[in-house]
Amino acid sequence: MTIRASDHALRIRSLPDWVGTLVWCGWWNRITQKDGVRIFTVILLPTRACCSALVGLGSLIGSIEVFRNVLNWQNLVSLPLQTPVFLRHRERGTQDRKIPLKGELGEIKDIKGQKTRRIILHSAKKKFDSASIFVTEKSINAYEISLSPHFSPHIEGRIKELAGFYSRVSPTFSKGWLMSGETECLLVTNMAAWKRDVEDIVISTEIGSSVQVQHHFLPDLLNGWGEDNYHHPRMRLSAPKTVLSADEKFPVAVLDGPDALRSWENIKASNTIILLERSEYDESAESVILTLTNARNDSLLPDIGKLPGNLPSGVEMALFSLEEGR
Amino acid sequence: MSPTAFENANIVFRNAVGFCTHTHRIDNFAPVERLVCETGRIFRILGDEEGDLFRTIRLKVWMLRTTVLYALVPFDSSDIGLVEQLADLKDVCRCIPTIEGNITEIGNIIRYLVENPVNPKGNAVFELLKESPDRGLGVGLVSALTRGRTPGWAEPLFARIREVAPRALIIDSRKYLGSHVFRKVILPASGSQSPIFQELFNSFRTERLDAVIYRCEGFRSPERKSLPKGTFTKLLAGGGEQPKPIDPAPEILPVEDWMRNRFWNSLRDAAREEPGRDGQDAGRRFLVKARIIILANNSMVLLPEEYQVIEVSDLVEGRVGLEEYRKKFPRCRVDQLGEGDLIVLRTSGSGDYLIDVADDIMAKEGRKDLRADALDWKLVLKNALENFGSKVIAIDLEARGNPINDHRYIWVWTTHLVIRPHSEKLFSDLVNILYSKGYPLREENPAEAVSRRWKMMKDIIRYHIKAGHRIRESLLERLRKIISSGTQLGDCLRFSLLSEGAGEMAVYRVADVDREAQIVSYNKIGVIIDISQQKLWQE
Repeated sequence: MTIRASDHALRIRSLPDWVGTLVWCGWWNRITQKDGVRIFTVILLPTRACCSALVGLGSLIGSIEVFRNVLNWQNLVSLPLQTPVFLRHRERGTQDRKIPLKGELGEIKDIKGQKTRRIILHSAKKKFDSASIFVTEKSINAYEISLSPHFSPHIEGRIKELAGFYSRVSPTFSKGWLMSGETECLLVTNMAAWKRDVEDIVISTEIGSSVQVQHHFLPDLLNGWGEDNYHHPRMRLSAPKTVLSADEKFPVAVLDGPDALRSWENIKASNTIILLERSEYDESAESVILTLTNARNDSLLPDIGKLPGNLPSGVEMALFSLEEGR
Repeated sequence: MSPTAFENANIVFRNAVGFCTHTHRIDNFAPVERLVCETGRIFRILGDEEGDLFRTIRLKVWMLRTTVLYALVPFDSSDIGLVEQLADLKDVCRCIPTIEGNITEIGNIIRYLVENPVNPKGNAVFELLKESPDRGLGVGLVSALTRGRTPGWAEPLFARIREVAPRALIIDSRKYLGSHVFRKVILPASGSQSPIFQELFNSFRTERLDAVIYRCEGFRSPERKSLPKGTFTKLLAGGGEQPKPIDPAPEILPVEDWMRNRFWNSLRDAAREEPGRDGQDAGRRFLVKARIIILANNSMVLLPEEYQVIEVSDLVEGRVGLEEYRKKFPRCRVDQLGEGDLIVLRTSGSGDYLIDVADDIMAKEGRKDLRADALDWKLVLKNALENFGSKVIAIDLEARGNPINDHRYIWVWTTHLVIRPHSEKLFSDLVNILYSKGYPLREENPAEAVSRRWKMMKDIIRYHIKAGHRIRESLLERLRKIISSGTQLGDCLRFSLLSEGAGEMAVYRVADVDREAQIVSYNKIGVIIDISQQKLWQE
């Protein structure tokens, strides 16, 4: 498979190495998380334009790999009694029409030698209310069982498009990942300039021949199924001065530029990526980075895996692993 | 089709791979070499002498020398006024015998240049522009060679550049450089005094940087800071072959050093108030933390560090459309302003523009005395603060259940920055304290005084909101006209909005912002001062 990044006129034909590096960085920071350890990745760049969005995309791709909220058979049988669940039941006589239903988990029992998990339905419709469904390992996929409510047909359509991209870039993709409401990445940036910069970026995936090329606007990929407010979805956009709730913690935070860097102590994230243009690496930025280097504990860095061989020209990177709470 | 941000970013990363610099050195141009020596000597002779006269002499010597070094037009051009500058310099130096000989020698050099006006640097730069393909397409010429307006660069020079290479772009600010990419950038100087020196070398907006320099200017790329050691570090790689650095003449350094450091210090010294030890004056003066903003027309203004000013460079330079400003004014915190920004400041009238416009509306609605009636307590409070200090008033307020984090904040209530304290109870307690300390308002009964003023202040807030809407509309209308008429915004563009009585505003280009905040007296805030004048503040 080939991935390409381009502007709206599709003028750039192949994925430039700087794009790959930034996506990798976001991906790596999302999959490399360890309890009690915070990793700060500082990257000096010739320009920050478009970079934070690509890091964000990488972190979303990484989050697919660590997503554990899919209700597969093992999950279903391990959940306690009365856990609320959501499922979709195909209407009799129709091919596609599915009715969203709510229910709670019942007991596990053997029926004709097959292990089943009972779901007791709650519905305003008489014919469904208090009815039971016995789900087996074989039938689980047919019900699309989830811990969160299902989406409207409109959102479903969007999810289908997004699934087209994410299923191509991540072998572990599941639709449940798209449906999860968890925020995977916080991006602190100048929001107006950011939106202007990224609105035209197209990410294309190609399998085999050009017949199978798919084009996606980057903001759509980042925004997920939400509307244009960047508040719901998997990546949250925030202005440097926005005060975040003290109990919000994100798997990855991207601090895009010196204004965002000023908020570094107020943001709770497992891993933090700091993007600065080289000319923005001044005394005040340096003093923050020196704080990181002084507080680092090199023995805490998890296995960093395979790094890109060389960074693109003009790019510098340093990782600092710190004990959480420092 | 104009390139998108992504395409530009891609070019920047590509430029980083093969970035290189070329120097075009002008050797053996004796008048410039000698001028640099003489001016450098004057700086050495003046040593650490401080005071307005010495500051003025240094500034004029620097201006003359920089004009000669950076001018691209013939030396006898009236646009650079070398003869007038010399006369001016001689005038201010007449009482300093120790530099008389140097001034005479400078006079000889300037006369020689005016009589033999061929400018070798100008010729070299125009040659580079002429040989650029596509009438200069993709070529940038750096005009931001110094902080503030570059000496020796005036409109006729820009017209000549447009004639020779109409598609070349003039790089006059960090913002402009950062929003374009180039095939080649011409830097007609060493760049060491340029506010965008770092960016020219490190932002890779071009693959090739051509520096045209006199031998004495020297040439070296700026120091490149690397990240400190991390748990894992990958430092900068790549970049093309760089030329050998050329050391500048020793006389270059003291002047540049003065401009870079001591120039700021002299401005800071003039602005700064010595805050008395807290116990000594306990808040009897209103001091605020402010930044010195150098404006491109050789003036400066002090603005409170956390104050937000209207900044319109994105709009005027076409990075955003007017629609984006429909709902919200583009404001920028003073400590986040940068060189090249375009800020809107008040240039005449009694105070804040909003207040003047609001007063105008009040007068038209027959309530011209509203502000005076409602806010008379501010003067009474000011008198009380001068007598007791803000600390004493803060203690009294706290005793009545109104804790104040910093007692000096009470001074803000005496200004137009806020109309009133945030709650009626706090205002009531403040007025009662004033009465108890022998500073009553007009009414005998404090409760009556409070309730009358609180209502009137509510009305003033309403008028301010109305005025804010009108200013926004008028300012947008004015900016729309500026943009549609293609008016070039130089260093400063003055205009008045609304009625005559509302005074005048101006859009100023920021040349530099002091990195350090100073503690200054509130009455210095917002006053625009010509820094080429001898006296910075007439107290």
